[in-house]
Amino acid sequence: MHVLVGDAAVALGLAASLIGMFTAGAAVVKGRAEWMRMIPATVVLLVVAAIVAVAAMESALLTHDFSVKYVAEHGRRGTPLLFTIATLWGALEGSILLWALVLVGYVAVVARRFRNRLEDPMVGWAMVVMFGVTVFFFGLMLTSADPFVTVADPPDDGPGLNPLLQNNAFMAFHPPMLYLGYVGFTVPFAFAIAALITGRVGEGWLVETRRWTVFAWGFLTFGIVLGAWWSYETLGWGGYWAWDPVENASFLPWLTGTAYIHSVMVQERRGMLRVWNLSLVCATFALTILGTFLTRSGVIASVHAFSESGIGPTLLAFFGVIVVLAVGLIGWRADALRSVGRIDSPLSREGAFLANNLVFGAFAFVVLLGTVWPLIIEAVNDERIAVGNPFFDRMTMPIGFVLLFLMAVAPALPWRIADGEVLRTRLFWPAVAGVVVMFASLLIGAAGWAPVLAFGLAGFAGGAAVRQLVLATRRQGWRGLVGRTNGGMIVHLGVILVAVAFAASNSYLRQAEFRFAEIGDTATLAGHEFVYRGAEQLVAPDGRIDDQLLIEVDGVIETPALTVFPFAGRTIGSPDTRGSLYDDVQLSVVPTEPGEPVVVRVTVQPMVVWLWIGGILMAVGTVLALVPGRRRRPTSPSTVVASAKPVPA
Amino acid sequence: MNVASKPAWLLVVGLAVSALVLASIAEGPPKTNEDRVRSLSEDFACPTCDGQSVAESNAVVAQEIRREIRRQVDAGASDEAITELLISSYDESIDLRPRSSGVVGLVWILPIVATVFAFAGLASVFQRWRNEATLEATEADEVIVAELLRDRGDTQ
Repeated sequence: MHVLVGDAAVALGLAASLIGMFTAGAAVVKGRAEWMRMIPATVVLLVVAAIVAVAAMESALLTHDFSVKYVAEHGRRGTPLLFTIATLWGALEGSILLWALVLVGYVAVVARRFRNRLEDPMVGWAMVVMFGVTVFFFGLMLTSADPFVTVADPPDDGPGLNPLLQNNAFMAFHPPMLYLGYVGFTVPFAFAIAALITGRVGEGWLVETRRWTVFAWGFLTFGIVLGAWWSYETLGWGGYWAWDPVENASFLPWLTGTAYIHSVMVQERRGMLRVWNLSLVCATFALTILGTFLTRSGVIASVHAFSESGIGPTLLAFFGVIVVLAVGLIGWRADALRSVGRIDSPLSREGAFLANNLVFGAFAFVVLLGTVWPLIIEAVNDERIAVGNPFFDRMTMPIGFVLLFLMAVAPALPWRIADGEVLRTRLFWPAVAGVVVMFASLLIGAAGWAPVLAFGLAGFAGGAAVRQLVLATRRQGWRGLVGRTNGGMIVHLGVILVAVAFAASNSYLRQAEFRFAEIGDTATLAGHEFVYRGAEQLVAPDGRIDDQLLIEVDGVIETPALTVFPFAGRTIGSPDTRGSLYDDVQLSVVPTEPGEPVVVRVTVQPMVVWLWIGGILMAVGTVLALVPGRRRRPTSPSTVVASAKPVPA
Repeated sequence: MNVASKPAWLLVVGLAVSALVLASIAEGPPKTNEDRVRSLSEDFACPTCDGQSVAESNAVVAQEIRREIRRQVDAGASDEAITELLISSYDESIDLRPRSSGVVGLVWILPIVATVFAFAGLASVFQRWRNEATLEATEADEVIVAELLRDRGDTQ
């Protein structure tokens, strides 16, 4: 029954997508604008199809209909409700279904937002592109990633989700957030392609897509932070970011998307960087598909790749189509894309944005190269190598320094050309803040030039952002906290917190493994005292067994455990983390033979909590940036040529 | 007097540099053997666990490698010796640091080359823009401007 309904819904979705794509396509090609009136009905059909398909799967999961292969492979009767619902995005076919739902949601919102302008060829072409993408994803669900397959001989119960995915509630929220971000980049991509096809490559399409991009970027950011949080709380080795291929796949579009959010301002103000901005939008979308290919096809092994299947070649082909389409169209429109303006001085706001873009480009290049290098080496040299943490840490550290420096200087730079005197005045107090932070960190025991430089640059950049916000709120009251520039400064503050926390927690991590033979045994690490107080076993209602240790940390009992999932035949660690604003203590149990002394791995890291606070601040800043602030007209005095010489008499 | 004068800036920069010097000679908490084990175990891949490092993983083989690193560190072996030992007991794909020679080493070089080229390209574009900006007015331009100014003067 579920399979029947689900398959019918997917088929309906594919049909609606095809109808939408061809109707919109015919309307714009033949100039028959009235055909576009069919689009709203098509979108409604598509929304119904996506909702019914997802409802069919959720219903199958909730009613434990093991005749559905996906449920038989990933469901289980005893799984708690939250994780049963989340099983939809716990494996490949279901996550494609979620992707399709989110995508259809974006299509519907775009269609509604532009309902009065559907006859505009720009909107028409954007709809063609978006329907094209839905054709791909619904097509995928009818072929290599079919979520609705019948099991001839249904089992009585299933194995349940991968235990790692049901040990922490973050997992229920991280993928939907990430997908809202990932999939959201489809909208700017569709408008970019539409702008190229219609030849209206001026600034109009940017205005349409800027907010969509910021919206998607905000969710992607939050999704990445939640993922790091999950990995920190679940894996229990004191790390939150391991430059794993799956993490890199989500980080790559974030990098190009961030570059775009900055460089788009140059185009709005100065009409420049048209090719570059179009390329960034297309690259961001293409990277979401490439990332999905790299992590879902099994070509790269990753602990986070919770599923593999045969969808690799299809995704790779789709990626190829996107790249060829984008490059071809940009080449075709090369003449129209020639910029009208030029940049007067490298020492200007737009000069800083160019530098920002180069640095983000370099960042993305390093991450992409490191991720695919083992594949390339295996192909050309028939040799198996690995590229991991040490490579990424070393290569990205200088990039981080440059980005912090730019974050400090760029907000103080005026458009067009900067005067040295103005810069000296504007940057003075932020620079003082940076020096104060450096000495403060030395006083509380920081050592090593790299982390102290990071703290100093962070203080410098933080000072610049705060200066900007103070000036804005003095001028405009609470409105000084909203709008793109001010919201952006709050996002900067979040990024700075993340950078400081990253530098501090990585540089001053302390870790030790303690062996406790008898109750009352003690140990110390980094000023914390640990006392072994015994062990106990808890059985949860869903059947999992927690073998937990009672460890007193500075007088308070913590309970790290090894959790046995008998139904999945796996044992995983359930670390216990105690956080404070100053440092985190994480305990995880190292498995030992029965009868041997218990072994606990203790990790003490300063400032980890500030990663999550920084992430939340970035999300808050993004929301504030989306609230319309006081908008400057393009003719406002600040865009007038500052360096104009007086007319000779 | 402006607080942000040149001497004040020199003081700020001087203080920043001295903070960095202090930081690089400052002694952090003493590096224990445990710390070396941790940082070394981040440099090696757990052979059975899909891209996790030995530090991350709790798989049996990862624990075994951690214990081996621990034994070597306690015995006073150098980082290089431990790396060699682990590569010979497993294979080169256990080392998460790609070697810096041969084709494999390109992974360290390419990003630097690309960044240098990109900045050089940007610099040359700025140079071109600057050259365009310093266009001299020709005599014909001067005549047109002079005429316009005269016309405007007439009408006022």
